[in-house]
Order: sequence, then structure tokens, then C-alpha cells
Amino acid sequence: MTLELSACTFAYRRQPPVLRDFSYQLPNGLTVLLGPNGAGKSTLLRLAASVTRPRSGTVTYDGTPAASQAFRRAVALMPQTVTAMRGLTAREQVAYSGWLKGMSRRDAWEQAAEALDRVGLTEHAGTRTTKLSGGQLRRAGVAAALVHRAEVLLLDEPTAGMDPHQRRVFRDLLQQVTEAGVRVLLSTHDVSDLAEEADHVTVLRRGSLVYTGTTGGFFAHAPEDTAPGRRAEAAYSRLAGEDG
Amino acid sequence: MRSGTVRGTGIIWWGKARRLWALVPALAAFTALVTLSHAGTSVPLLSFPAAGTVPVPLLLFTPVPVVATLVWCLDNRLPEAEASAVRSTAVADTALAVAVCAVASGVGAAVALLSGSTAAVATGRDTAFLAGIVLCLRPPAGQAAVLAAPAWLFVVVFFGLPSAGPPPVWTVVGHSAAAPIPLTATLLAFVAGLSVLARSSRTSV
Repeated sequence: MTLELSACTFAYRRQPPVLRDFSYQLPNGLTVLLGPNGAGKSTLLRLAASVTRPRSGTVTYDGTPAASQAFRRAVALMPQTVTAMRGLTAREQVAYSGWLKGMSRRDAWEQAAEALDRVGLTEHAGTRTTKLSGGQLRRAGVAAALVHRAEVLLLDEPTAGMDPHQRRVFRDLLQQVTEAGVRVLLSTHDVSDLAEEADHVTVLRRGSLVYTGTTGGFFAHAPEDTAPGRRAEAAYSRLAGEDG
Repeated sequence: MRSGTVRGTGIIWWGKARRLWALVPALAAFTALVTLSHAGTSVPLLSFPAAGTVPVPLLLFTPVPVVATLVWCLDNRLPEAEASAVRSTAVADTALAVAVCAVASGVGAAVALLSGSTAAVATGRDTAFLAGIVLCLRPPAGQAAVLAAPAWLFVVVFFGLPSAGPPPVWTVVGHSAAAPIPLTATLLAFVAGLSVLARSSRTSV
């Protein structure tokens, strides 16, 4: 069972294509998606979540097309910008996300509490989302992606705005999620933060796949004389063309 | 917290997300207040066909804030979650648009009964027409589509209102509520707007 994009081309209105004839298969475990700004990371995640449709090509999960209910139940996205709904508390917003994904209201309500607990927001469950800090709102976004127990999690820069403690909690959560068999594709600019813990790394550059493979293979792109703590950044800089 | 009572149903969460509970009563009160207090008020505005100013009923502009609020409610959404949802919010969004126009019609009719103003009766028709246009323009224009409502009214005032007699049929607004051609145009515009809304409720902004 895998999420697959086949020969997808996508362009925003009156813009050149962000992704052209792009094919990708999401591997098991945690995959970190890297690339400079404008490389197409968010577009890839939005296409993979069926938020936007490709101009050509197909997006499938386990053979089911992106427009199907089975696909939409299986895949969850945490967007780059998490919307704070003025009228909703954190728990209501997470529950609303679960209800939209087809959960019953009771399940959505109960699972929302559990999802908020997993991201450490239990004490803010009754707080209006407009009153949450940036980091708390991103954690609420992660909870909204977790609430309906998707088989594939697509997270667009989830650690942006999180403090070191929250990042540690988030890493533990990622470990639990992947150990439960969920495939995770996570975009980040923080190369060294997560690459070491990923099972796979994917690097995009100008809408093209410049590397996808194991984390070990990714590190092999770093120059041999790189200090151990700098390998991820060095490998990324070489692959993304930012080394000179 | 897990064993707590379920607070709200899904559709109530949708309503809270759209901020209906605060806005719809305020909108109904506003419409009632404006139509009641200004049922007979006119302001002189420039009209090219009249080669001067013509008295324009203030009620002509009542639909603008109503339509703007409707669009604002519809834009209060979780774009990615709603675009990739299993449950569509299209039916609820469409029902909201119908309800807002129904409320405007009801308030206009009630004020007409109370004040005897024939212009107030047309408020609902004008609201539905302008809402239809704005909803049709939302997918390509986004939030800027809401400007189509005042723009239409100013085009009508500047180019459509003669110094005497009824305005031309194309204006739609400014006619009596029972005029058949404006009523048909309103129905067409509103149904087109609703169908665009139903399709665009699934689309990420």
C-alpha cells in the first residue's frame, strides 16, 4: 500500500509549472522532504493530499484515485499555514477536521482530545484557536492531521515555531506514529534537525527530484571531510545546489 | 476529557467555523433597521442618462453589506481540510446562501408591510441577484468578488437610471419586485451562483 504520484504536472494560475511530469512513490516509515524555497515541496504535499489536482497525471493510494473517499480517509495533511478559526476552540477545530474526514461526531470529539493530548495541548483544548501561540497552533494542526488515524501523514513544516522541548515531544510522537505503521512525509528547512532520524530523504530542486532514497545514501553525498554533526547540511547543500 | 459530553454536532462546528451564530442575527437586525429607517429615503446621485442627478433610494444599497457578510462567512473555512474532506460542506454552504437571501426577503417583506414601502419588497430580489453574481465570480476573483455588488449598483446608478420612468431591464435592481424579467434574471443569476458555490466548496483557496 503506497501513495504514488505518476507523471504529475501542476502549475498555479498564469505561472510556469511547479512540478512537471513528476513521479514519486512514498516509502515506508518517516521520509523527510527537503528543498529550497520554491522547489515545490508544499505543492507536492498538497497534490499528495488531494487538496489540489494535477493538470495531468494521477495521484493514487493503494490504487484508489485521489478523488475517492477511501483515499481521502487514508491521507491527512497538515498545511504550511494552519488556519485559526475564530469561532472554534482547539478541541472543536480538531474535532471538526475529524468530522470532515468522515468520523462520527462522538468519535471526532473523543479522538480530538486524544490527539491534543499526544501533541501536549490538553490544557489548551478549550482555548479558542485564535488565542493560541504560533507554536501551539502548529501543534493543533498536527493534532488535526492525527485525529482520524490516517495511514499516510503529510506534514508541511510542522516544527516551524516550535521550541526545543516541543521539538523533542514532536520527535517522540513521530516515532510512535511511524512505529504504528503510518507513513510520514515531512517537509522542513531544518535539515540537521530531522534528517538523522528519518528512514528516507527526498530532495527537490526546481520541481525535480534530485534525490530520493535511504538516509544513509543521502549522507553519502556529503564530502568525506565533513564533521559528523554537519553531514546532513553538507549533503543537502550539495544535492540542492547550495554549496557554492 | 475523553469521557466529556460531545459539545456540538458536526454541522454546529461548521456553523461556528463560518461564524454564523454571531453574524446572521446581526445581519437580520441590520437589514431590518436599515430598511425600516430608510424605507423612503433617497439620495441625489449622478446619472449620465438623466444628464444630472437623480434621486436614488438608499434601500438599493442594502444588499451590499448582506452579500459581503455572506461571502465573509463562506470564506471562514479550513481550506485544506475542507478541500480534501470526505464530508462535503457544499450542501451546508449552499443552504447558508439561500437562507441569507430568504432572511433578506423576509425582512424586506415585513418592513414593506409595516411601512408601506414598495421598494423594501425588492430588497430580497436584489440581494439574491447580487449574491448570485458575487458567488459566480468568487472562484476566479477570490475575496475581491464581493466588490462586484457595489460595482453593479454604481453602474446602474451612473448608466441605467433615467430622470423619469423605469430603468432599463438590464439593471435588474431598481425595478418593482414583481417585474417578470428582472425576477427571471435574478433566478438565473442566483441558481448559477449556487451551483458555482456548490462546486467551489470543494476547492482549496
